[in-house]
This record gives sequence, C-alpha cells and structure tokens, in this order.
Amino acid sequence: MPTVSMTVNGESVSSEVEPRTLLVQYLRENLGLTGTHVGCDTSQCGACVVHVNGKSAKSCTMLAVQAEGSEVSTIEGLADGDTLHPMQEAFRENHGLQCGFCTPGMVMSAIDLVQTNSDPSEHDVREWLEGNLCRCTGYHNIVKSILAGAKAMQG
Amino acid sequence: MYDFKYQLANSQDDAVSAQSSAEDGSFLAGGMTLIPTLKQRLAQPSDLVDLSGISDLIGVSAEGDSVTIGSMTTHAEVASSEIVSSKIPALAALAGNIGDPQVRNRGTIGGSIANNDPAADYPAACVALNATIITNNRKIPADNFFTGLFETALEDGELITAVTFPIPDKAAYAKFPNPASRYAIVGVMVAHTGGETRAAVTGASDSGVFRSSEIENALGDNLDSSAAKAVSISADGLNNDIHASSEYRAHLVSIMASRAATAAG
Amino acid sequence: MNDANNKWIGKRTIRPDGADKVTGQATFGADTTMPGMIWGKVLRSPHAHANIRSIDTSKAESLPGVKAVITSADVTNYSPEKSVILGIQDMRWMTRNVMAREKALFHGHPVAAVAATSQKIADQACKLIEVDYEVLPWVVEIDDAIKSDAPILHEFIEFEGKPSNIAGTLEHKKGDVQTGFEEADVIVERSFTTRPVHQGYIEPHACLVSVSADGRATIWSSSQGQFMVRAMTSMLTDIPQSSIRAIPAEIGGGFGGKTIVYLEPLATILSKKSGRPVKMVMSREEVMRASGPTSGSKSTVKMGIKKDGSIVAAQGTYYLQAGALPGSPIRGAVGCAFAPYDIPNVHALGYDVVSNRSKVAAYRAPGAPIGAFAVECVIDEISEAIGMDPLEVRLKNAAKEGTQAAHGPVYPRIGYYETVEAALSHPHREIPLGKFQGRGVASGFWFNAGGESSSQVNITEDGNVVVTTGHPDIGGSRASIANITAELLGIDYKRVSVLIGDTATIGYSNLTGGSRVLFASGMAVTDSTEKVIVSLKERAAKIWDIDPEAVDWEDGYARPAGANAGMFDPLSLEELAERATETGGPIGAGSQLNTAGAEGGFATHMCDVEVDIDLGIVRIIRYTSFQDVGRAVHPSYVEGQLQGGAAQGIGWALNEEYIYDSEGRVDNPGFLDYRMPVCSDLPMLDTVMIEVPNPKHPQGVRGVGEVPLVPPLAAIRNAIYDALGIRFYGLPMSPPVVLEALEQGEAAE
Repeated sequence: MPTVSMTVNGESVSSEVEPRTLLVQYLRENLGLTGTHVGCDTSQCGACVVHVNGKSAKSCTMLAVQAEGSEVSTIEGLADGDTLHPMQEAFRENHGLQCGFCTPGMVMSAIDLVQTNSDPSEHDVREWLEGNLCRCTGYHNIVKSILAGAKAMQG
Repeated sequence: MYDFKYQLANSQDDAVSAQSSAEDGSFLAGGMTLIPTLKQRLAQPSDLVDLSGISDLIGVSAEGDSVTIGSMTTHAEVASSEIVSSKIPALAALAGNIGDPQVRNRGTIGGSIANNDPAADYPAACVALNATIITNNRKIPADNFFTGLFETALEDGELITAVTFPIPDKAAYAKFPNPASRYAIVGVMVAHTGGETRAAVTGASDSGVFRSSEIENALGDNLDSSAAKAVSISADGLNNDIHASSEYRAHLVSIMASRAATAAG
Repeated sequence: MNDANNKWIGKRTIRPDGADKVTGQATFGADTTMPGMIWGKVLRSPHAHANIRSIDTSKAESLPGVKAVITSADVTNYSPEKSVILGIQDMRWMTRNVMAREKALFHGHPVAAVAATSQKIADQACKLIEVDYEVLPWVVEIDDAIKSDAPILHEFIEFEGKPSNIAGTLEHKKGDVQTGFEEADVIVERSFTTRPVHQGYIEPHACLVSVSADGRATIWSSSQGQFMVRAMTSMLTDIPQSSIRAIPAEIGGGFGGKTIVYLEPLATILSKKSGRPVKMVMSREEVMRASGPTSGSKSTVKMGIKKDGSIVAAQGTYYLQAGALPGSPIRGAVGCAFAPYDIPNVHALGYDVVSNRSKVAAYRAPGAPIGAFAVECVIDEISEAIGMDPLEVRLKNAAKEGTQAAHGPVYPRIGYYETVEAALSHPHREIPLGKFQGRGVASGFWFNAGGESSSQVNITEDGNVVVTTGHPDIGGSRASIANITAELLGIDYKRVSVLIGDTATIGYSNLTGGSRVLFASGMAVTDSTEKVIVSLKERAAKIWDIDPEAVDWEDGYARPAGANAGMFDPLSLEELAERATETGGPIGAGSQLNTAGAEGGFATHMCDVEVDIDLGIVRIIRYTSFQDVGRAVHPSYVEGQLQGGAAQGIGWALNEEYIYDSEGRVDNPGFLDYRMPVCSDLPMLDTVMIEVPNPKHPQGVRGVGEVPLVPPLAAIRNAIYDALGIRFYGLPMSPPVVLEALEQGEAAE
C-alpha cells in the first residue's frame, strides 16, 4: 500500500492507504475526524466539504492519495482553541442550522466563498451554495449566517 | 470502488509512459467525473496516472488572436483568469457556471473534454469557438475531436496538454441546468468569429456535442436571437430521459441558442 | 408565563448544541466506532416482486472475514394474519420490512445481511449469497394496483370479499353531503395526482450495535426515538427491553422518515451472532430505494358553495400508496383535508393501496399535504366561480372554537381564522405583480400530538441545572427547553444544560414526531422544574425555620414572603445547592407524563411565482407563511420549521418525484437525479408567527413542525394559475410539464 502524507489541520499525518481510499474515508476512519460527513455518495450534498490547499473540495470525490503533500483543513481545524472561527460563530448566533448535519460542509464552503468574494450579496451566497444541500432550514438562516459571517471575517 | 494502482506523474513523458506501460491505465485529471465513475464501479482501470503534478499543464496565456489554456487548469482558474475574462468573457462565464464551486476548484478543462460527457459544458465551447485540442502528439480541431458519447479522437496514451481558443468577435453560452445534478440538460454556445457563426449544443444529443446548422443559419452574422428562437429543431436522436423528453430538449435548443445570442449582444 | 415580561421564553437564545454542531464535534449516527467493530451490509432484492424459494448462505459464511450471515429466519416472525401494534406501526409488517420473509416485495427489499471484518469483505459476501427467486408480476402505480386483474402482493389481504391490494379504508362523515350539494349554487369536482417524494434527510440511516456475551445490547443510532428503537429491536430480536440500551446519536434530519427501524434489528442480530460490535451505514442509494418516501396519491374532491361564499358540502376520495406493506397515511389525508373549515356536510374516504414500492414512512404531517392539495385547489376554483377572493372565502368558512371537525373533535380555541386575517392584511398581498407572475394562497391543518414524555431536572452541586429529556433534538428543541427551564427558575439560560437521555437514563418518551416534542417535553420539564422549585422553597424554609408556604421563588432566589418578607436575605440557587446536604440531600425531580391537549395547528401560505414561459420553469419569487404557533418559545426555531416546511413543499410541488423504470426499479435513487431544492432555487422565506396560546399547555405551546408542509403544494399551484391562467391537477409542476401545458394552451387559442 502506498503511503500518503499531508498536513491536516496543521498537523503532519502519514499513513499507508489503499489508493482507492477516498479522502473522506481517510479523514473519518483513519484520523477520526468525523465532523466531515457523508450524505449522498454522488457529489451533490456537500456535507463532506473540506479545504485542500485553501480551496473547498468535496472529500467524497477525491482520493486520499490526491491530497499527498497538501494542506487539508476540516471543520475541526477552524476554531482557535475555544474561539470559534467567525463563520462558525455566525452560524451559531444566527441559528443557521437545525439538525446540523450539513453544517460542517456549509461552513467550509462559506469560508471559501468569502476568501474569493469578501463582500458577497445574497445572490452570490445562493449561487455559491449550489453544491451544498440542506433539507431543514429552507436555507433562510444559512444565507443570513453566511452574510453575517462574511462581515465578521472582514471585521 | 475496484482497486487500482496509483501513480503521480511528474512530467508529460512520465505520465504517458506510466499510462502506456499499465495494463489498462487511465489518466486522472481533476477526477470530478472519473472518481464518481469509479465509485459506481462503472470503470475498472488497472492504474490511475495522476496529472496534477505536471506544472506545465497548468496556466492561461494569450498570443495573437487566441487564448491557450493548459489542460490541468481548473474551471475556477479559467473563470477567474484575467486573460480569459478580457479576451473571451463567454468562456470565463461558462467555466464559472460548471457544476458547483467545489467541482470548479478541482475539475479541469482537459479532464472535461477528454471525458466528453454528453452533458458537459466545455465541449460546446470548444466546438463553437473552433478550438484546437493540443496533445502530446498533435493538434486536433474540435470539430474532429468529439466523436461520440464519452468518445473522443484521443488515442490510447495520448494526453491533452492544452486547448487553444481563437478569440471570437462575440460569444455567449446559455444552459438549462438539471435541477438535481446541475449538469446541462441543454447548453448552447454561440459564437461569431472572423465572419463565421457557430452554435454548438451540449446535453441534447445521445452522441454528445453537435453543431446545429439550422440554428447557425438562423443566427446569421448578427446573431439574430429571435430567428434562433423560431427554429424548430427535430427531436430525432435527442436524449430522452427521466429529466426531459427529446421534444423538450429540442425546444430547449432553440431557446438556449436564442438566449445565448441575446447575451452575446 | 405568556407575557411580555418573559426573560427567556420568546428569546432567540444560543442553542446548547450550537458549538458542537459548528465544530464537527457532534456525534451523528455513523460517527461512533468501537474496538473490534465489524461492518454489516444488506443484500437487497434485485426484483420488484418475487417469491423467495430458498436462500443459501453457505458460500458467504465460509468467506474468510465473514462473521455472521442472517436472513428472515433470524428475525422474529409475526403472522400476517394478526396485527401486533406498536405505536402507529404494526410489527407484522415491520418484520417483513426489515427483512423479506415469504416474498421480496420491492426492488431493494432486504433479503439477507452479513457482517464482516471489512466493508469490502461484506460486499463480497453479499455476492456469494444464493437466493432462489420465483419472479412474479409486479405493480407500482395505484391505477394498476386496484385493477381487478392486478398482481396481488398479499393473498391474505381482502377487500370486498376477495384478495386485493386495497389494504384498508378510512372514512369521516359529517352531515349529509347529498343534501348539502343540493343547496350549493356552484359545485366543482376535480381529480388530482401527487407523486411519492422522499423526506430527503441528508444523513443516511446508520447505527452501531454491540451485543455482549450475556445478551445485553447497546445500540448507538440516529433515529427519531431511542425508545422506538429499543421497542422495535426488542420485538424483532426477542431480547427483552431491559437488556437493550438505545443511545440516541445526533440526528441529521428525519422529517418522519426515522420513526421506524431499518438497520438496528439487523445489526443487533449480526452482533449477537458474531460476538462483535457491528456498524451499518446505508448508502444514499439504499436510502432512496428502501427507506420510506411518502405516498403517491390520486384523489377526487367535490365542493359546493353558495353565492354568499358559504361552503355547504365537501366530498373527498383519496387513494394513497402504502408501498409494499399496508399503512399509508390515509388518516392524515382524509382527516386534515377539510379540517380548516366549518362545513356542515362532509364526506372523506381514503383507501390504503399496496404496490411493489418501498414501504412508505411518515413525512411531515403524513398524508395531510395530499389531502390539502386537492381541497385547497378546489377552493381556489369555487372562489373564482362565485367571484370572491379565495382568502375571503377561507375567512368566511374558517373553523373556530366550537366548530365540529369532520374527523371528530370539537375545536377549542384555535388560530386558523387569525392566519387568514393576517394574510389578508399583510403587505405581501399589496406588492404588484409583473408579467407571468402570479400569487396563490392555500391553508393547511395538522393534528399535532401529545403522548408520553419524561424529564429529569437536576440542580448541580454548584447551583447550575441539568435537564434531561427523552427526545432526539432535530430542529433545536434543546434551546427551547433551556428557555423554559431558565424562565421558570429565573436564571440565565446559559446555566441550563439540556441533554438527551438514552433509554437507560431517562423514562419512556415517545417519538420526536407528530410535532409533539416541545408540547410534551415542555410539559414534563415544566412539571419537573416546578417540583424542583417546591423543593428549593422547602429548603429555604428549613434554613430560615419558617413555613415553606411563606417562601417565594423569584429571579433565581428564594425570598421570604408574607409576614416574613424582608426578615432574611434571599438565598440564591447556588447557596441552596451548596447547602443541599444539610437540607435534605440532592436537589432534583423527574416527571413521567402522558400529555394531552396538543390541539391542532393551522397555517395559511401566500406564494408568488414567476414563470419562464419559454422553458416552463416556475420560480418562487416571494413566500410568506402565516401560522398559529401557539407560543414561540424560541422564535428562530419556530421560524425555522416554517421555512423548512415551505422549502420541502416547494420541492414537492415543482420538481421532486420518485420515478420508476420499466423493471419496477427506482430510476432516480440519489441526489444526482432526485431534484431537491438548492439554495439558488429559493428566495428568503418570510414568516408571520401568530401566537394564539394553547390554553392546555403551561407555556401555550402548539406543535409547529408539520403544518408548514401542508399548504405549499396548492399555494404554488394556485399561484401558477394566477400567472398563466392554467390549472394543474398533478405534481410535480416541473418545467417539461408546465411547458407542455403552455403549448397546449397556445394551440387551443
């Protein structure tokens, strides 16, 4: 089995994996980072979104070996100690979740949006979230949370 | 997923030799179609040769009246490229609407056209803009490149290195995305380049992207949107699936062509 | 309790599990692992309908790494002849749903399951199981299933004296519809169809089960009720409930679809057989093929109205798909259809139809959206026929306190009328509409449920509060419980921790379902907290050596009252906690209630659409929900229910549907092809919460979760009519369907 090495949430990790191991399997099963979720298997739901070298990616549609040498960050790596990332805080304060299953992917996707568009409009947010499904909220509070989070990230 | 061997290629030569020495090797670009295909066990390559480490396959350049995009350039990079946005804004817009942001962050132009999914967006751009697909061996005009459903003129071991797009006078792309997958149910790219009008249709046909002469004739040199809208496209040979009948797709072809023409101005 | 001076009730406090959910710390169904854990996998029927002649598992069993293989022989059997009721389910059907017994009844029906040391080996083992099927003719559509020569799914089900796919009926009658229709000036009768749609929770079903050598089972799973998981697993495995501990994971959405078990009994039997903890996780495809969507339906509704706007008679006939085993939500369809209205003569009849589809499961107000769709569309038409605004017609016929509903009850104080009034006077109604834009309205009702709930409220030694309830929190109910407890105790809500107990740590609590959680657990928590306050007052009285009756509890302090007022310094919760040992020991109280008085919920929705007439695309451009919410203990999560329900309704109305292929298989078993709304499909979803407090609840709570899915289907359909002048009678109103109607309309002109 090949060895894969990467940095996950700032820590170097290295493991032997089968090439067919998906990044999401590696994160969840090898590293125990179960905040990254699997909802659909076909790349639509976005519950598995992580950042690879700072860009959002669906970890169910990537092999772990493709992340060789990359900087991967997951929902678990966002907070600074007990201080939440501004986007996490925005979701918490704006009630941007009901069941919370889609939340990690939403937050990771939203941060990538703000990195590319620091002052997104409601329209921008809605278009950006095409790869993240939520079935609970009708997206209303998610959109509100992301707009607030974007402001806070500039803050 | 079936098991396979994985290799990261460092150069084009490396990639080609790894692929050709494998029993049934596949190149892995962004993986946005290949990995779902492998997950569904719809393919069983013996080896995957990852192209992401080959830096000379990435990037955008303009020379004379054309823009060249390296095959491993992601959709997001094309969408945000200043060169593409200023020279061929329609292409930047097309790239910026492929799939979702995560697909655009990893999916590549080379991967997309090599796969020739009948519902992919880039093939329409290549054909409408009369692009040239450059491989490690040769240059293939887009008209000869897309040969059928998931089929291209690429030979075994042939690697797309770049795509060159002539800069059009006017161009635009309009698509009707599938409400679930966000793939094009029908997408039409119209372009007017050096006196020639082209309209390339994706999503509609079983055999992949095609040029519609009826639409092109209606559009004329001025990209007449209302004439395009009035064209009645035959449903024969068009896709008929759970999302849209062939008749509905036929109707979409004229509407999307008309909208693209309006957007092209 | 319902006044403006509330400190926490009605406030938008931060949810107790918020940090866990935004940091990935929350543990969902698939997130738990154990040492020695192995993987379970289900082998599913490749046929829509087939007798199972035999199953040979020997090759699978001998594959290295395989630790257990099970079939229906390992699952407790219940004869199909006699019902075995558990809650609203019948275990004779449930045992056949979790594992095919005599027959495979739908494509994807479990026929065997394996547990192996890796997922790969489990996959391989499934392929080695040899099932000898006798393939049978199959049927998936209602019209085909009720034909006289239809393939019969269950020979033991009879209707009108012969084997039938009609598994049951339900009828409500009030007055005499014949006489009623004679009085009408206008009668409209229309027929409708709706397609089955999936709940679409993003988290697939998942569980981990460990059975110890002495037969005690521990189940970690995501469900809408750990006690349901315990009871059903017990009945399907013969392990007594006392030997099963069901621990609720966080649940990634349910909407009714997780009110029954699929995997837990299988994982339990596999764990028992293998002696290893067994984890099972469904793929999305398995979820779509084999877990319950809600019914597809066909219906006919006839309504008669007088020129003055009074509806004098209403008749509805509904056929609902049950899936492969009986139990479609006909009660919701026929019971809720006419419930918002005071109509003197009503006849509602429902048929439960089995066919070779996965067994339906509850979906948010099960059956009610189907019932309301037909009725609310017909009301739009009769309103037009007499030239009266459809909201005015609804207002004129609105059910009120004292109205006898066709499904039985006489309503207490309800807020339906207020929802229509609010819609009539809302600025949304005044916004001008452009070309190809239209506005529609519709109303809806849901029964709401009470039932069993338990709670425990404990004061910690440092004077804070831990509340435990027995309901999985799907939509933020912990935040509301924190608000109620903090309000009653007069302390900051941040001092209250709210936990969901497992079956061993909290008393029996019925499902998170029926819009019952805050109603019932709010009552139980109120009861427990009030007991705690009594105890706190007694302790202060003991310290002060005065009568407990002479102690008030106010703002988190015991204060001497009456004749003793001002004689002692108030004692805080912290001080009383510190002195607990000397005043009688630990401070805490539990409650086990069977709650009643939930009372129905009503809503009226207003929706604006814009139709792209070249493409047939209907876009929702504006949406406002008006709902009687009783008391919004936590407004954000009440609004969230209204918004979420509207979004699901929009999906159901415009795009979602189960599509079957020519072999009786679901042709769109995943989000690649099943069209749920994404963010860019929707506008902001406005909500107007009308608070008509439920007099039978200490905080005035009325269930709010399910009503929001009842009105949207008709509201959208009526809006499309307003935009185009075209009336649709079937769902979904997807672009090809709308375009075809537009073209036919053009051709007719």
